[in-house]
This record gives sequence, structure tokens and C-alpha cells, in this order.
Amino acid sequence: MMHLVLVIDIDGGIDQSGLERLRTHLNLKKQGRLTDDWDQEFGYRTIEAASGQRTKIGLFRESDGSWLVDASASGSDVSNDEIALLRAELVQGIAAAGYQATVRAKPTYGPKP
Amino acid sequence: MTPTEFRDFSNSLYDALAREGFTPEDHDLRLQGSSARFFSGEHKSLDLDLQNNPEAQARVDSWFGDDADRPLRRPFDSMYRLGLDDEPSDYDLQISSDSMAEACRQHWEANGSHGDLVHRKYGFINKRVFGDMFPALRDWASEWTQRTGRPVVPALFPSSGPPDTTSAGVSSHFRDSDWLIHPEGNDPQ
Repeated sequence: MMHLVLVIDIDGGIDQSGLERLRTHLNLKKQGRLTDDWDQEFGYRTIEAASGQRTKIGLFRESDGSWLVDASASGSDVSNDEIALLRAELVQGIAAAGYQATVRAKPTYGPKP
Repeated sequence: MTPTEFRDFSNSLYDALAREGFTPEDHDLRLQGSSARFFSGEHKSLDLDLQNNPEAQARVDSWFGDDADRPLRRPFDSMYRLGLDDEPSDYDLQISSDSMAEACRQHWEANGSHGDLVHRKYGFINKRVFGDMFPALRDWASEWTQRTGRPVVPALFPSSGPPDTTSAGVSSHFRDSDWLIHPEGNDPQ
């Protein structure tokens, strides 16, 4: 099981060009088709630490049409410093793609509370 | 996929599920979509408007010529081969398991999550929690995506399978004609 450590909501709708920008600025591998309404994951990458810890970053569209980026770790011992660095990097990437990011106070599944 | 590749695909899938703690009795595995049925569902018509895409129109003309009996639905990989999609057709993998769905529900609730765990239209378990709950399965899908050059996309449903959503235009509910993925040694002859 992976542990959810970070969720960042992306404000507004995303079209194909916006999706490409997000993948580029967040350095994500391509996944999913925007036109297939059952697709939920649209990009991902994995960070592997020397300790063996793996952190997976994903770009998702929830079933209500809202968008977010999340990060899940293979262990529950991710430091606050590591999360802060990752958060800053992802928020910056979302902004560079032309979208506004809102970090959830507590990481949860599903759309923004 | 060759028969040998498909055998590796199936066996390694059962291995990945075993690493997650599940036995073959815990789940029902089926290949869905155009990779199993050759044609896409009725919601994906081959009646394409290509007025502004002469290259794709030329490929269609080369493919069918004057044949009026061309398919109504899109064959596997057709959009990619016509240059209308930048990615080949995928392998849709349907996993139906109450025990896996229940594990997702518990992880969902433990994280104080919001909204629908089960997709209202298609009935699959939220893919974020599904992926996080079963990383060995996600790794397996990534490996086979690289190996085949096509997206391998698992979706999780309760043991009863997806609901019948035919009225919505597309449905992957259980059918007698489904392509079941059997554990090694139990392949149908």
C-alpha cells in the first residue's frame, strides 16, 4: 500500500493544450485520453530515493471533472522537509503551466472537500 | 500480442495479484474493449469528419476505397493508424473482486476522503485509491505498457462486475462472450 502524502487541487477546467503543459512542467509521463470520460489518470512519475523509498506523483481528473496532482509514498516516514520541497516544486510546475494550485490541508482521495 | 506474450501477460498478472495477497479465487479477470473484441463500442463510430484532415482522409480512402460496406465502429488501433490519435489502442483490464474493492473502501475512509468511491457512470473504484492500494499491480501495468507499447489500464469493480450501462452508450458488464484471463494451467482449450 502507498501512503497519500500530498494533494494539490488545480483550479478550473483543463483542455488538451493545458494537459500537455501540465505534463511538461510537472515532468510527467503521458497517460490517458482526455476524450475518454472513464480515464482518471493523465500523467505520472516515480521518485526513487537511495533509501529505497518510492514516491509516485500523479495527475488525475476526478469523477466530478475536477483536477489534482497527488503524491503517494511507499513508506509512511516521509519527512516534512521532503514533502515541503515536493509541494513547492509541484505548485511551481502547476503555475508555470498557467493554472492556480491549492494545496489541501490534509491529503484525501476524491474531489476537493 | 502473441500467444506466448499473452501467457506471460496473464501469468505475471496473477503473480502481481499474489504479491498483493490475493489468490485466483479472489478475483475475476477479463480483457475488455477493442483489444478483446476487435471493434470499439457503438459510442465510437468510424463515421469520421475528415474534411480538414486530407492525410487521414487519404489513409481512409486507401484502406476502404469505394467499399460501401466499411465498418460502422472503429477497429482496434484504427484511430492511431489513421493518424487521428497519437497513442495506440490500449489493453483494458477488468478486475472484479469484492475483497479488493473492500480494501480500497477501507483505505478511502481511513484517509477521510470525499465524493464517490465508485464512479457513478461506469461503476469502477476510484483509480487513485486503487493504484495506491495495490502498487504491485500498478507496477505490473507500467511494465506491460512499456513492453507492449500500449497503455495497459486496469479498472477495479466489485465481484458482480460493472453495472449494465448500455443505455449510456457504452457498457462493460459481464457477457458470455467476454475474454476471461485464466490462471496458468486453467486455460480453456
